[in-house]
Amino acid sequence: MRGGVEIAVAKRGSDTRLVDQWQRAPLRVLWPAVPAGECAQAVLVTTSGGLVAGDHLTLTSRVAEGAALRLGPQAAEKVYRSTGATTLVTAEHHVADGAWLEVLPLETILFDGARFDRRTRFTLTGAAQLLAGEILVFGRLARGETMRQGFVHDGMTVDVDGRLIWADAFRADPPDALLDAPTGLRGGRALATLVHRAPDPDAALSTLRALPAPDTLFGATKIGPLVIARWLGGEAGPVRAGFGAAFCALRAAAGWPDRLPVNWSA
Amino acid sequence: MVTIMGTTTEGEGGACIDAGRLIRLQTWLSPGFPISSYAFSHGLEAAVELGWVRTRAQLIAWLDGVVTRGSGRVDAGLFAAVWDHDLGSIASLARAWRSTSELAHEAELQGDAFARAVAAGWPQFQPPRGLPLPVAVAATAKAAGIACQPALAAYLAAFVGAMVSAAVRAVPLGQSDGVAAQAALEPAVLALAAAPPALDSLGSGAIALDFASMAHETLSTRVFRT
Repeated sequence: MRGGVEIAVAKRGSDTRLVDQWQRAPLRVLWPAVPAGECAQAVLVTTSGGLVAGDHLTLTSRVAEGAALRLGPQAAEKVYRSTGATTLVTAEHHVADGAWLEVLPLETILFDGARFDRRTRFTLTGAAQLLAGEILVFGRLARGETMRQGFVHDGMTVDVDGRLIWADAFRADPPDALLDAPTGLRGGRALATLVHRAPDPDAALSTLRALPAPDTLFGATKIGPLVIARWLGGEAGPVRAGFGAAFCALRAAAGWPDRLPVNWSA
Repeated sequence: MVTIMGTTTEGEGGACIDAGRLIRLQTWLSPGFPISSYAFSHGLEAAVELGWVRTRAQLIAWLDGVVTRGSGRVDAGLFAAVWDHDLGSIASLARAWRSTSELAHEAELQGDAFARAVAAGWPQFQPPRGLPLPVAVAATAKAAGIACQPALAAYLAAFVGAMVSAAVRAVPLGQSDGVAAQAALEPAVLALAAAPPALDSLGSGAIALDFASMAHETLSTRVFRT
């Protein structure tokens, strides 16, 4: 299926309001009420219950000057086994000067044999702030499945004022060659990546490095104005916990409440 | 003119390179060329510290992953793209395509030193300043009329050589272990030089390299800069 969501938000008074929206099944966007002091929240729903081979989803968000938006899925995304075609997800996020965008993921669960190609692009202007990430899980671990066959390309680029600052892609073609490889996942089955642009990246890096990350391999670095962090673990739980704690700490440092939505704490 | 078969892989034909171009490549990519390659370990010092690389076999497996599925593969794609894309756009992409702060510095400092050194000896081929190493070498080789495949094979062999040298000192391993590792990586180097990835399929699965490099940033005792 070719589905998509396009949303644009802008600052109206002290609030952020939706100014434009387009959606096409199987993607839908919901706007739950948010507590006082929180940014606007857009929840993405995949009404088909998962992604299959050949699906192509597009997601575009525009956050105008001074506006603040959180964007995230309602539930973990399942990518089913493919018989040949690849699932494509193309996302573009435009964040204007003085705006805040956070993209809070849940796990992308890659079934054995899935073929998944996601390209995410962030274009920031001026003092735009970004807090985003992805969590990949290689197989339905709870039922003992590991994603050995298939394909993953999960790429991300960040532009600031028209200049490419960071380009990165996790690529497994096929995953089997990486799962236990010494330079690959070293037995890990869940991988999270966090990207953050804050006014003070050095402070953000210190915040990240001071956090505990039990039962995971954790690392953080700074690329120009961006801070990048990764977690790798044998199970999804600790990776998600490490990522979530970092997300909370960084949003608190940016002046937002130190909490995540209900669907995250489950 | 003497012609020497360059990077021949079985059944692929390979590429020819004349002796004049061969000795330039050899010089530019020798460990003695003043780009301070001895100062960088490309994450290996931390990998040794983490206990991941302690033996010859572990070194070979590590290098194979870095070359085949990690930064070697990404750099090969960027290197090859210099032959058929605008240099400015490849340079921007290459500057951005760095997974950690230290790996970015390693490529930038060495690229700049490479450009300075080439300017001193072969001003007619000097690349612009400020290019990351793989792009600086590619731009120079292209200007010198060298084909992509032998240049890339030589570049990747030198990349392996620098990591081998770092590992021999950091583990430590014997010189014969290092030589054996260099030889063991030949098929991976030649295969990648024969078929570098297209720009839209750049990516790395060598995630442990990223973790090692990030860990190196906070190691208390460090001999290498990366």
